[in-house]
Amino acid sequence: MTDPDRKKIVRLAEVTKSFGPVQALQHIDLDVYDGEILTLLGPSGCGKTTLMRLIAGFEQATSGRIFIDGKDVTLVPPEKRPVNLVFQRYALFPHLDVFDNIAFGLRIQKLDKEDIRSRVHDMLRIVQMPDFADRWTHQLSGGQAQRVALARALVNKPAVLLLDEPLAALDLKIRQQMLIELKRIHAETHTTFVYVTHDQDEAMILSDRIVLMNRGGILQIDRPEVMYARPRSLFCAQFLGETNLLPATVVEMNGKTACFDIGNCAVSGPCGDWPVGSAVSLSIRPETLSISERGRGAPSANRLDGSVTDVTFIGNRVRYQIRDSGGRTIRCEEPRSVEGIRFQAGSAVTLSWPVEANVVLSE
Amino acid sequence: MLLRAYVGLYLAFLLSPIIVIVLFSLHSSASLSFPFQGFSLDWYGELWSNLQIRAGIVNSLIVASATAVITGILGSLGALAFPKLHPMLRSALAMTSFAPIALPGLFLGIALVVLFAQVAIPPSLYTVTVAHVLFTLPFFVLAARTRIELFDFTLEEAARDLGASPLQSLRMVTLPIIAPTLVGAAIMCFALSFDEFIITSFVIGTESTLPMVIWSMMRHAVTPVINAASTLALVLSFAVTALAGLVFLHQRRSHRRRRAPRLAHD
Repeated sequence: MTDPDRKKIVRLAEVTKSFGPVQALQHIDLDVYDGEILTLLGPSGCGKTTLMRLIAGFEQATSGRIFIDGKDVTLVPPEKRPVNLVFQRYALFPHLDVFDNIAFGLRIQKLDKEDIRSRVHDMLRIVQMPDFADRWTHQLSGGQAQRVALARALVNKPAVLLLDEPLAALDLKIRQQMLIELKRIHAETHTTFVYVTHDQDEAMILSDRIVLMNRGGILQIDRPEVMYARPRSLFCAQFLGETNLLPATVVEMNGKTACFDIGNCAVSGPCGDWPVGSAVSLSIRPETLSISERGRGAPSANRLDGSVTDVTFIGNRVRYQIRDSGGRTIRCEEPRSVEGIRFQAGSAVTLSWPVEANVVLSE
Repeated sequence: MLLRAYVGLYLAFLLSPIIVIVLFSLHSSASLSFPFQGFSLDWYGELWSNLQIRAGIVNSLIVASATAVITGILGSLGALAFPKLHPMLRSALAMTSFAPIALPGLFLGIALVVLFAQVAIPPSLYTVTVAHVLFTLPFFVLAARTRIELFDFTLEEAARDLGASPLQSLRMVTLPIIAPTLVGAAIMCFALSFDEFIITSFVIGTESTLPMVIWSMMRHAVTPVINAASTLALVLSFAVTALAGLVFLHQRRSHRRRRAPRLAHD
């Protein structure tokens, strides 16, 4: 997904990075648009942190060039780059109080005292900690420390704010609050965010665009809902959200729909350019499957009989595990209905799903 | 119960020589045995009038101060460089740089005599200082390293990220955080140097340090002046440690004072 009209604030061209014999990043081409929240998402070791450190200047690219705000910064040291970083473990200076931590960058720029004071206090207001200027960093909770770290970076008005798994060290409740806070701060400061995470939920909630990475390469760049609905690889389908993957063979292609054989049943799915007879995988999200009593339910393009083997109640949702006649396990999820949990383990059920629920992956 | 008795014994074993020396330095008679015949400061008076001892104290103070400063600077740089080395090189260097600790002072002394003779440097307080730096440096690095290894180097990255040059980040972040460790280690080196005897005896010239003076006096006769001199050395060690404590206290206070005016017009 590219947009030639939008201003690019960061541009990576053919960037590779090796640590000795290990290729950490290979042939990375990436544009970051001005003002967006871009997430680098991937499992640990996929190269997302290395990519962020390359932008920050803590690592040198083995080849390729990096541009920030139109300038080639490939060889520029970190202190001369117009970016600031929020570290995973905050990295607040323990010998300075909150005010001095936030003022650190401004003092190095030799701004005048009054200016520093007002900017630090503005920033404390934005992160909603106006009364914390004189606290020591060890007196702060994790969430507060992360706000200070955010303020310390944003007060320098960076062209890009880099965030390295900033919520990983926080517990769940605070993490959810902070996500909302991050969106608000982003809107309030009009800063470009490049956000590194391995957490797909964070990525989906926060991002304008997600960059999905694996093994040192970029697999897909898309808006979260597009990436979720139309993954372009098995890896993407499995990493982002949950899915059922059914091995299938292409049987027929008739222009509008395609017919697949999944062993015990024929499935119709969307058309594509797969040759008849080729092996593919069908990815079906659990929430796109409708579950009903065996033989009942609205007519649908695809139906599959099975019996419930496991029921998990997750408050607002119910998750069923179904074994079909072919012995395959399929997960299905529905919102909790007014009747409560509709099926028990052992219930005979029918799963149905529309043509578009099948995402065909050839890999 | 048994444990308490043990701790009591342990302390008695550890402290009794010190108590005996301090006690007899205050004895009114020249006898070094009980019964105790009363207190006086005579031996301290004699100590003060003994020019040899006075010169020894002054020389020891000069050498120990110079050693603490030089070792402090060299050692800090070394200890800071350590975590940034390749792990293989680091462990190799760790082993070799501690050789002087494992090596008996006797060999170090002989080696230095030969070295100074080779390069034709006459023995003096300078050679003593060089020897003491050599001898205290591994102790300093050992003490400082354990703390510096705990230092979170992402703090330096944070400083760089906020616009600090490598030198600024060292000055504004790393040094202020590890300063107490470095000062503490330097004070330890001062104490090590102050009473170093074996290596000193090889490389010393015509001037004497306090341990050398006491040693030469011991060879003639054991007099209570020696007790007084030892007690003085003891008090000095305590004083140095207390001084370090005061320095830290002052640092913290001055930090608070620096903040105060800003608080006022907030």
